[in-house]
Amino acid sequence: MIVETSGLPRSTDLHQAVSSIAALSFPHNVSQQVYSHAADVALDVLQSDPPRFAMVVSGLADWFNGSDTNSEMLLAFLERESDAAWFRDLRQLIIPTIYGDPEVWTRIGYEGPSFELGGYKDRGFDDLTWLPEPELYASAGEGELK
Amino acid sequence: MTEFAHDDHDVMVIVGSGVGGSTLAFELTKAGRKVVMLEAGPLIRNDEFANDERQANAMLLWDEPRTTSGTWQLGQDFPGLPAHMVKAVGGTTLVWSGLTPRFKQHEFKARTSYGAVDGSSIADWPISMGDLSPYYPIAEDRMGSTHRNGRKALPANNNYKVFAFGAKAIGYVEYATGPYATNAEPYDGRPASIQDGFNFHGDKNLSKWTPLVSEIPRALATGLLDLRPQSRAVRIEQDSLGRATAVHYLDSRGALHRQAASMVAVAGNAIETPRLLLLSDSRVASHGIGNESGHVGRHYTRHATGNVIARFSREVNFHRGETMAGIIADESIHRPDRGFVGGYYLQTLALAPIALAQLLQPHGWGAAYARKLDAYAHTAGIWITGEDMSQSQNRVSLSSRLDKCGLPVAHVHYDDHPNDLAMVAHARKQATSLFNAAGSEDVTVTPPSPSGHNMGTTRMSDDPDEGVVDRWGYVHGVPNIVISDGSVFTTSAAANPSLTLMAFVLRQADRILGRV
Repeated sequence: MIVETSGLPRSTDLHQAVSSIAALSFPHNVSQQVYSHAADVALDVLQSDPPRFAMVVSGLADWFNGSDTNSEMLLAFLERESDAAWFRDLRQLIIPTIYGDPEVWTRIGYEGPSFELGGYKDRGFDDLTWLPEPELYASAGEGELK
Repeated sequence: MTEFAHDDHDVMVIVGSGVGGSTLAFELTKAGRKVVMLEAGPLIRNDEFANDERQANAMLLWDEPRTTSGTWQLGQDFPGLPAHMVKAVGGTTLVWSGLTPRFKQHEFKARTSYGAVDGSSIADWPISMGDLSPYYPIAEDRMGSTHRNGRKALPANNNYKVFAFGAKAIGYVEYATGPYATNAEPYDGRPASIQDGFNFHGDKNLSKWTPLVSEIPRALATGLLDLRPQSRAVRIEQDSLGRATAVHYLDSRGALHRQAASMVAVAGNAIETPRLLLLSDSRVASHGIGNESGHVGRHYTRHATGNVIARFSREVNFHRGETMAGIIADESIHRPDRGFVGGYYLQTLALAPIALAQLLQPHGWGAAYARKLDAYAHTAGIWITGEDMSQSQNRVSLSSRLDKCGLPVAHVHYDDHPNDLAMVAHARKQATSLFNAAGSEDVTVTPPSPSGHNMGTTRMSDDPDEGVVDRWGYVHGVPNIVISDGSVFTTSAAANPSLTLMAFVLRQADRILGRV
């Protein structure tokens, strides 16, 4: 997927690192495929934008050049880099894939597309019963909402 | 489809197809006038909209670069993304919430009502509530605002149940599910809401009012509207006396065209409108059109905003139903003993997962952050929108960065005013108390998101030295250019601006047509 050039990490290593970063950044109890897919999409976008790609690769250089390898050490590295531009940017690239994934939706309780199912009109838009039924409009003050 | 010739001097050219441009186009074509409407984005029909955040965002959102500066946190959190807006026929209404409160009498007289506020450039509008009051009910009828003029209120969704319970518990007395421009029952040939939860992503069901389901098809039906999507205006041409004679625009292939005009209305939103005026510099307008006194782009307002997001032990499912069908008006008053001038509204807010992950804590990540997002189904939300103080240095100008056509992109500078910060602090405290009263386990206050309410950059004033347009929206010193969007707002007021903008443009249309 990534053209291997001297000085750059091997593409499989880069993909592995970005998948792991995605999983550590937004850990939900979902399959590894969610994070691997997020890495695919992020790397595709980065490859079409060489300066952005270079920024992320150079941000990761310390990680690849070090001897640390396990996930705890990667997390410690990411915590040090939390506000670095490359990591902020990478997280923004990762978010839409993770939180647009139906497996994550199921996990967090989001129900996805509803139009074809008739919306939620008869499927629970008003099914909250642990509070009393409210007034649709209350107006005792200036009367703006009467 | 109606097509007018490029050299037809008898057409009015309207730049932009949002609430302002479309309202004007409908009024003019109904009265027999010929209109060419230039819209930078494509024409997308409601049945093509996607019930999917990623697809909808890719399809609808304004995706061209902008630059930012200033003390606002938004500039740190989203540096190239000052505003959340749409590039498609219908404009930002395609993703608007639909709340339609009116502005208030005292807000049209901000300087008189609030007195001098250090560091701000607030002023009285040259028009008052009396000037717009005949037009508000018409605008509400056009939009089908719920529980206005005899229409039914929307039902309470789950998010509203939490909101209303908390509101009552902390002593609020002015809260409701609207006014909201989405049908509670069939109205104007469109069906009632099916509560699908996607009105931030284009409404497939046609229940939400937008120009795409109302003004645009009606104007097209007159045979007098030549709608040109994917046509980006890049310059307004003036003759040696300053009269507008044509608009230059680029089509989807990047080819430049010149459309002759008897008159030009600019309705490109408070960021693109001043950009177009500034790009249109010439010998008769050396600093851009309407910029003799240097006000084009200045006094930019975007409302004092923020989100307050709460977690409950039991499910809320705030993604079901109308996204913002809840409003509290108790704080929308001027009561300086709260520590600030002007007022604000609290409104219900539901975010789909991507938006929640991006906005809950901009740049948040890690296990604790993921736990907050795991509680999605247990989450309720409030959006704060209040009057922000106009400031001269808050400004849209031309950036040194160029777009793909080689034109300078818009640069947006915004410094928070102490009054804005005091107001938002108060609102966050109130919203937090509201959620706590409803039994919340955890409350997160979030900084402002990219602005949906953009105003003030061609300020309306009777005095050409103090503003860009007159009380009808005509550019001072130019006989045939009007501004027909929120750029004309002298100050921001607290309410969601679309209703007031439509009322203003209805009045402007009466002026153009010689009725007033």
